[in-house]
Amino acid sequence: MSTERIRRIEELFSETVALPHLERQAFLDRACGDDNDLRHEVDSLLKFLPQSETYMERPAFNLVAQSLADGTGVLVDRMLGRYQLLSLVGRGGMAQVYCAVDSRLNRLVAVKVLPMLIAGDRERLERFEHEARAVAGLNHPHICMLHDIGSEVDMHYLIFEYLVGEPLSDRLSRGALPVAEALEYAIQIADALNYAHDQGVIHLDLKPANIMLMRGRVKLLDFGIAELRDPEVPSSGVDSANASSSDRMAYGTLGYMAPEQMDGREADSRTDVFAFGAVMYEMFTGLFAFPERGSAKAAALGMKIDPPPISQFQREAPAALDSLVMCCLSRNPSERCQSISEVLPQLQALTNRR
Amino acid sequence: MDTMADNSPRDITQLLRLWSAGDASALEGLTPLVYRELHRLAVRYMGRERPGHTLQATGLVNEVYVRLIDWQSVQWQNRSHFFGVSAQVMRRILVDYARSRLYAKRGGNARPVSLDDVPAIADDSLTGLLDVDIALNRLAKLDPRTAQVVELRYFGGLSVEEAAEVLKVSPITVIRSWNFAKVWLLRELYGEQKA
Repeated sequence: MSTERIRRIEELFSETVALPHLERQAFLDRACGDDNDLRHEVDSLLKFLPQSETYMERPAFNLVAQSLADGTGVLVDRMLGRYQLLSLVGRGGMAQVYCAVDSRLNRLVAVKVLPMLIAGDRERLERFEHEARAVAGLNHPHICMLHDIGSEVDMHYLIFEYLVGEPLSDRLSRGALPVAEALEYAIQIADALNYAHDQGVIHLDLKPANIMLMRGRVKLLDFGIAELRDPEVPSSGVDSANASSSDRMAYGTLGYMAPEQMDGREADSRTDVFAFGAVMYEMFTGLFAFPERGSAKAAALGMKIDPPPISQFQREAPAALDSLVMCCLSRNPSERCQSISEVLPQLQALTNRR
Repeated sequence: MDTMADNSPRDITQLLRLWSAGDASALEGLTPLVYRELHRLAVRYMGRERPGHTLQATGLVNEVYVRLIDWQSVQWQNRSHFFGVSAQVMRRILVDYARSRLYAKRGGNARPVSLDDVPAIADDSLTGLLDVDIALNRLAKLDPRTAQVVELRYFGGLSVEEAAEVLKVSPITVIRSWNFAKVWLLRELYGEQKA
């Protein structure tokens, strides 16, 4: 077909669609005359007119960005390195977590995929790999094992031990834990943090969503990869302490973040102590320690209010527990319990006293 | 590419110049920058709270151009040229991205996604994006100007007025070409096989 011919078709098409429906056939009869091929061309194009109204409505750029944002399921059945992704089991921030099969060792693993995050940001990638090496060295019964990291095209991923259990955040959406159970979990978490801190690894994103409950045992997830959290993800507000599970997601990370971390100041192992205090508070009371933290704007305000004592909600809670948790939640790092190794024996003492 | 450490709009403008002068390697420097912008927008989509609340499409792509291009160093008469080049670069990067995603999904040895694989109209997916690219190449052979309208609007994210400026035609002409191109592409992709 020549350019003149297609121009002629375009011209006829444009004139036709400018007419009311009822006049189109007669117009085409006149305009095409004996040129059956021309008539066929225009008719076959007109068939697609209704569909064309919304076709390519969104620029390709937005479409790709949206597909990145949704992402869900896109990677199911895909091979990443030697891992075949079976199903999407969770997502948070930009990351997706898949259940996958390690085709070489023939075992299930969890694959955390970080889409595009690091493309064009070599420095960040290097920091991440450096951190991953440290985390891969952690071997503790209460820390989820990092097996491997990999990258492909524009994606970077982490391979973790596959765990079956319930995230503490889900459990807490049903209310407080019994004191004995909460104490037992607190000791296990403290033990894991203590071990990691000894190895020079800080968690920096400790929160109930990163703590897996497995028949009375806990495992900490996502050690040391707080680096990969996206600072631009906006958070929505949470108004009440009685939050639904979607509110819990919004409360996400901010609710457990130490003030120095929020302000972007130097974070150290005491930053984990603060988050641990907030997690303990929630386990014992079923309430957020800082319910107003859900929105960044209210966060600054929330910093100035201490949560009410645990004993107010949990009569069985010993007074020493209250002072221990409040010590962990001190706003000023230098006034806080200085290390988890200080906290752990106090928790153990509380258990023994019961 | 070490020269890209800075990422300032000035560098990017220079990369676009190099690319339009035929230096294919300039694309390597541009890709991560466009990816970063995509990521930025993806994060905004994710942060969207109410379902019905859609972000204004073309406005956002324009933000990208504002951020990426050092307009002050671009002479006024070159403005439309830069929009045109940017649209080509965007097309290359977005198509490469979609292709890499879909190839990988089908396993490393999969052949290119072809039109035969498309069972239904899938214009709102990465496959749909690749379809547009393939069919647009065919349209470009018959009618380069109409194909360019699609490149500017769909891949470049330009408004009708901006596309008209690049092509030095009236906005009405752009609208007519755009409407025609849409039915033509749809017929090419989903119409009955021609004898």
